[in-house]
Amino acid sequence: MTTTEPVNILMVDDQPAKLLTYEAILDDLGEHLIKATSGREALEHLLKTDIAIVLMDVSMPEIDGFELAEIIRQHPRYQKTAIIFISAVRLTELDRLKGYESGAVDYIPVPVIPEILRAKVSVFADLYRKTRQLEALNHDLEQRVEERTAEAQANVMRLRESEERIKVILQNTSAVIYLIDARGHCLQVNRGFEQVFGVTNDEARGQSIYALLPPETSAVWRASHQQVMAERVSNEFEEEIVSPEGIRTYTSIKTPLFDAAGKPSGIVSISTDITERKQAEDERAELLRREHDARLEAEEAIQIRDDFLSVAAHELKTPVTSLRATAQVIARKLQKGSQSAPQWLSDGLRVIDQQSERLTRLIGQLLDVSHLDREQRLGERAPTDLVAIAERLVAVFGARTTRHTLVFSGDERLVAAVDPVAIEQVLSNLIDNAIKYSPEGGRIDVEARLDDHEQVCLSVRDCGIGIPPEKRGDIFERFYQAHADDHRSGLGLGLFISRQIAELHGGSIRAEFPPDGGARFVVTLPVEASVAASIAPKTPA
Amino acid sequence: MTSEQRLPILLVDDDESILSTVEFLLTDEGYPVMVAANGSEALARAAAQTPCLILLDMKMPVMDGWAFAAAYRDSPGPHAPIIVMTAAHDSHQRAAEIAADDVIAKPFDVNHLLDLVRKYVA
Repeated sequence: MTTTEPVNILMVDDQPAKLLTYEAILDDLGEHLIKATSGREALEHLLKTDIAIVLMDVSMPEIDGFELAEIIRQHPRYQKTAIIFISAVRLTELDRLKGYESGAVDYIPVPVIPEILRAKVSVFADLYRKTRQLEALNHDLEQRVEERTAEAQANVMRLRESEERIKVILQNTSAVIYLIDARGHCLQVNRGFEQVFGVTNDEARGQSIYALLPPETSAVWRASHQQVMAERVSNEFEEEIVSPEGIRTYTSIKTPLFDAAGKPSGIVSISTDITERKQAEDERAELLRREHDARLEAEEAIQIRDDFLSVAAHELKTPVTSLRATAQVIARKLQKGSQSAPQWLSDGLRVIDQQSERLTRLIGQLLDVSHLDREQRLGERAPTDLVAIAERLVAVFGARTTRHTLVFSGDERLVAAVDPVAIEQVLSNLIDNAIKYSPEGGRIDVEARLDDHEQVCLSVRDCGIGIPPEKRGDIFERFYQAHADDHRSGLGLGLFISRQIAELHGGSIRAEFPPDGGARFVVTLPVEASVAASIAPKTPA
Repeated sequence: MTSEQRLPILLVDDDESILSTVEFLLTDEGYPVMVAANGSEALARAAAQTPCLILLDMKMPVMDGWAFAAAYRDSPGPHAPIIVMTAAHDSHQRAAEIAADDVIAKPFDVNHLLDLVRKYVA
């Protein structure tokens, strides 16, 4: 309610003329005037409307002024409503007015002097307005106080919850946590601290932290605290703490605290036990170092081996070159001659030629192992007719043996993208093995065809001594010889190299052992052998 | 063309038995041949008489195949084609290193060697 808002004034008189007179007098005040011609009508208004002042005639039929005033006063809402009586009142009657303890009551004698009536009503109206205003202000104030109080209470609750949470965290972490002031006196330590140093929070509080620690730890911590205070920034320290269980390694984050003036006022430190981690790291580093050393050693050994093999191969090949060329030149000369050479001589020359070629292959295998190991490289691939290679090898090997019958079967033509030299080497190895391991002679089947999966399938089948079941798992391993105890020739490298070559082509090799004896070796290669990154083209000659 | 008019094949190898065997083979096939036991000798032979083809071993004492090839190419021309004969594992690599015209790996089949020679000498 504002100070200018009109108030309701209820005028009660059984004579309408008088009501009109009062209305005329009070009209200037600008208040809201309500007229009632009886006590009953007045009560009706009072129930419906908020009335500031009741102006009433004392003598009215039915309910007179005093009775009406009494009824009004009984109502809690109107206990403080101003009541102005208008009457030619006797003194004795005026005494009755004193019976009303609360609320303003006034009296205007008849005849009514307009100025007096106006002045009194005006005063009561202002009083009413002021009172209402005050009430509103009070109410507003109370409400605000209530809100603030609730807010403060909520804050306290939140603070308590937050403190509780921090406490739970502090007490239940495995970290060692402490707060110290600028002098190094403990403000708070957590359970981790209590456990490591055997001092409770209550005992530690107020004490110099350096007095609580073992001397070695104390000196180190003092230095780190001084650093953090001086630099005014958080820092991480790796620290060793001597506890009854032994020396443990911690990583500690120490952060400066600042007072309101921005001066470093203390430190909070959080330390995590990294003993196991550090040990594991150290062990790992040691293992890595050893592994590295071992690898270097191995690489060195391989290098020495390869260098030796390279020199040895070169030195071995030179006499073989001469041996083989000589045998071939003599054989040519004999063929060209007019006289036919004795059988024993041409046989002997053929043996020298064959065995020198065999020696060449063995030397080549030695080198192939070191090169395939290290470089994983094949020669350039080209579309190659594998049937042609197989047929040629069947003819070459067939000419060298009298006890074995080599038979080729397969497609008419079988072209695949392969390194022709390497694939010829694989087939040579397999045929050579087939001859070697069928000492009684017999049939050797060489096949080259596309299989059901559209893959190239090269196979060599002999009817020889086969391989004992317990040795079949290792035959593709390096230097492995299933028949080593028979003193059969070979380095144990043929199948190993063949597998390497097959795999470098994206293919595979396997051995089968038919129930009727012997062995069948099968090489499968993709027709469009994918060009793997490891396969570098040969440097052009 | 009589054999007197034909240019010789220069055969360079430090292994005496290879030298004599191949010399015998080529001579028997009707080619004039001159031999050298190392690069230095070979340079002298080539300077004395222009060869039509050089069969060159790589690993030799005094002057090896690499040094010979470099010196030979620096000498006044015309230059004969060079076929490298090597026992090295990667014979093609050796040949590429001196930009040889062809290569044959040791030990070789003499028929293969003759085929190669025929490719370069009429």
